[in-house]
Amino acid sequence: MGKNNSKKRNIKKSEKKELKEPTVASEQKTEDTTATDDVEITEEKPKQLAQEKITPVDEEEGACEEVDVDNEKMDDKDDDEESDEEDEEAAPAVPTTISDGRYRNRVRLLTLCSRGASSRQRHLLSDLRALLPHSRAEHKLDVGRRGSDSLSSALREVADVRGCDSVLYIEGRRRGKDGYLHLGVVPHGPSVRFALLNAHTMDELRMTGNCLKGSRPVLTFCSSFGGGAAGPPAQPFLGLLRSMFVRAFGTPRGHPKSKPFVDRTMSFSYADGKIWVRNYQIVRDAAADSNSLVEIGPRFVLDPIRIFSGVFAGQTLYRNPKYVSQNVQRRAQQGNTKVDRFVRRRAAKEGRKARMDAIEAPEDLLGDVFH
Amino acid sequence: FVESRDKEAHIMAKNRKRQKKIKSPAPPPPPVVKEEEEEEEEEAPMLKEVDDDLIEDNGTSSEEEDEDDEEDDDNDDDNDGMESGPESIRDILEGEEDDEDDGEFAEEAAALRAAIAEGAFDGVVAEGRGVLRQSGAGEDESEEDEDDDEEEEEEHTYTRAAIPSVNNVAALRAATAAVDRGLPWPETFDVTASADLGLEEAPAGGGLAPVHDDLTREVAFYEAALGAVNEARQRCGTHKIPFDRPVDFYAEMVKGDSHMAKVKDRLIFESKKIEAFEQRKNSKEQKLRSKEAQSDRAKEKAKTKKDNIRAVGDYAKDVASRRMPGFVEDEDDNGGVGGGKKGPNWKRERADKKFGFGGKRGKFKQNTKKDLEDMSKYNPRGNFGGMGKKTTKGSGGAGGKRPGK
Repeated sequence: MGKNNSKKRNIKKSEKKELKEPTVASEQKTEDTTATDDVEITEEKPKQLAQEKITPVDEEEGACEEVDVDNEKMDDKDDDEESDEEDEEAAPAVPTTISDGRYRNRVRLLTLCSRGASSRQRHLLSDLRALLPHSRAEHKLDVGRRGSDSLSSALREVADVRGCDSVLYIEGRRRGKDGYLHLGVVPHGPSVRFALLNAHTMDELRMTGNCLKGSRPVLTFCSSFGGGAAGPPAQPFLGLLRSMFVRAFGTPRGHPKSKPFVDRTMSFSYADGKIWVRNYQIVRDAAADSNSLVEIGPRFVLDPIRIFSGVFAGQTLYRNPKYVSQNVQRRAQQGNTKVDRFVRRRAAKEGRKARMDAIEAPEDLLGDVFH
Repeated sequence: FVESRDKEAHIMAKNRKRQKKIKSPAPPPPPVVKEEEEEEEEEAPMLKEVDDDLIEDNGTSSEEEDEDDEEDDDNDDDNDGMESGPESIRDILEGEEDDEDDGEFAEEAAALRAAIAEGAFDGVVAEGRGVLRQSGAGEDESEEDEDDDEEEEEEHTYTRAAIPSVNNVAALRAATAAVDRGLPWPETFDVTASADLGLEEAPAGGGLAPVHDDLTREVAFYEAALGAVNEARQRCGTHKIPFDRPVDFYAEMVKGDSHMAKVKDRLIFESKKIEAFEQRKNSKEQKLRSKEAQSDRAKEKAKTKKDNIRAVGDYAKDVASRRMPGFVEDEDDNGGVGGGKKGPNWKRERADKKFGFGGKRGKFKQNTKKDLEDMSKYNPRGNFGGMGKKTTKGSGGAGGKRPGK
């Protein structure tokens, strides 16, 4: 545990540096967290988010939809939530987080790709890194052929070292022909594996939009994902995916690298059994007092394969029945599967039979000679 | 040969070939009819021989699939998909109704069928549609406990391998709750559109669902996102979060200036292309139109001219008739007005007046009295070499008059 703590301490120091960088929007004074750091390390209680009194501002906001009274679920997530308790007070009954512009929601997303990824996949990853200031880049991961077990443990290890709580891992298989995108919450959390299709990077000149680097995006979900006014999700796994997307792709408020204004939106739509991801720039037309969207950034399609209860291992919570692996699709398209060959052979046999039947041999006059 | 075999025997033979776990081959039927027994036993080995050539493996086992694919042995996703084989094969096999007429093996077939009906081959349940799944082969997630599809393997029954669908609703909900952090809206900035996308249903008249039409799909995404952005804007207003970027706020952008310059160039290029195309189209049209326009104008001009002249003439007539009642004007005489360009043959008439009949040109071809009496070209021998024009009148006698004329 000591070693763990020391690692955390190192991370906290780098965090402190980030905190002290002047941010444009937030006018807060950088606070000295050293004192509280020591206190934090010695405590081995499960850590909780900033426990503050619910201020009037919060009540005006109409309360957050996602506030749950359940205490326990806070326990798992807080490997990183160490030192934001500048104003920590005694733990209240209902853990909520107020949002006043300070950096409270600690999310670190580990972004890495596998060794066999194609250049398109790698560019997609670098585009995502540019858009997500809360991401941590890592070198290529070379897992080898040991199977999912080693992938899971490798990712967990790397995430632990870097102090990340979620992982975005792009895997390329068959020399980059097949791409997979893995999204997972690291220590014990659920994880998803998608097939990555139709990836277009920001480089393409048809995407004419642009946005501030690090601006917080509005995450837009279609009605199938549920949440808020739209009601429950069309299917329960979509609800889980929604939460995971919010966690991974949502830039936390007050993040030191984030910019204050809102000029990007990332939209997730569920259609044809797949999730279509688009990034738009929000353009304001002051005269007409309306917004319009211009596409910026990478666009890709995710085909969910499986949802696991652990980090790319463990029980399968959801398996997509409509998913057909890309390799199988390719083979089917070639038209030379065993089925196709059987059908062709069958047709040929029938044709031959028909032709043979159609033959009317003339009567053999000498046929009786030899009985 | 295959056609003449019995359907079930065919399938059973395949199963027999694949299934190595069966303890013993099906026991021969009770010796009610001895001939049949012998025939069956003969048939079995024959079937086996014929197997390899003609009887196709409709099933796909993961190993065999991967023989085709040399690059990667990893099977984890091969089993996730299903080939759409079984139904077509089944249909084909079931459509095979014409075997009974073949007399050679009809008796055998009938006997076999009877035996099956009695239950001689119960050990092998031939429900198999040919798609088999080996247990555990290539399954990536070895820790996975829920293998819904493989529970019947041990009993040697081949059921159609349905695509397993796992949907552990309770666990999913629990996981969702675990991932959610209970953050207020300003921290997450997530908005869900209220209206459905409307892409899934195919139109009533037939055709593809709108999902497959790129333009419709992207427009649907755009509209949904735009609606959500408007909602987000309102909410930001209530939370007092700045939304619009002021014009003088300079900060690093995701795409650099050089990239945006390229984008701009491309946009300009595209607009120019369109312009050029439009221009070409317009000029083509114009060319067609201009000719017509020109001829119209010429016609107009001629018409007005005509009208003017006629008007003048009418006026002159009018005036004249007023001046001298009863005076009939000759139409051809233009009353001293104008240069006298009138009539269809006015040029000829004018020349006649000036030069006499035939005018200037006429003079060259006129015979004079002198020429008529000229006998210098007369040749008594009558050699008509180099005959001149037939009109020479010097060939005749004096006077050159043709006889009879």
